Amino acid sequence: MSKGEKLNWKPLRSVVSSKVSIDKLKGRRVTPQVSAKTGGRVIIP
Amino acid sequence: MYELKFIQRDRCKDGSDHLFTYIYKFYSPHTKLNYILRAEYHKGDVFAVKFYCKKDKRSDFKYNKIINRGYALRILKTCLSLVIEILKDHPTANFAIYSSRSIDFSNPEKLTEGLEENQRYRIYKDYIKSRVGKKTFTHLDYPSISSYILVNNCNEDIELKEREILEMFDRTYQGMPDIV
Repeated sequence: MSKGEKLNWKPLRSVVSSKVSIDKLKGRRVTPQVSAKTGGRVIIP
Repeated sequence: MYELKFIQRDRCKDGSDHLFTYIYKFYSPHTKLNYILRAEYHKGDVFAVKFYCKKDKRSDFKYNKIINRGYALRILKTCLSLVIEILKDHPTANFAIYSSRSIDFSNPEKLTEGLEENQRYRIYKDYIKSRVGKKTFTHLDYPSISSYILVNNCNEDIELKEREILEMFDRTYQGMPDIV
């Protein structure tokens, strides 16, 4: 079994591109976790 | 982190909103591979950051291949160091990432990952969240297309800037959520 078969992947030939309307794209604001997770390994403040 | 070497500034002459590209390369002594790092500058002060393994440069799927030699975090740190480098000359720059779907070339059907929240997206998002704070950028993610945008906080209206960036990418890449 190769990597993809363990997951719900599809054969390349069946992957159809579908245009995503930007009206449906809602950017979710992400809260950085720099202080909690990295212990000072922040690269960009 | 690996040392970045600047190769060239490549002008894009196709008349689109993609204006030019800074091209860098770096070598990993751990994986013994060279990597190409591209920062594609678009109208609206937006860089799209991309990288691929140099040995795959002629492949249509160079962004989809899984190299699987390890040291991914060092490679990501090198890519993030380019953001710092770019901010020196472009302090108001915004950055965008579109995470390519993986293709398993070891499978005869070339099994391909879905578009939403693919594995690269999950790794990149987690890495950016843990290394980039909120002072310089507002972080926006788009799980349905596995993309992530860092909007520079020097923009007075973040929502307006986000809209401009989305419209620019929509104009420039009609097939943005395509396989590559």
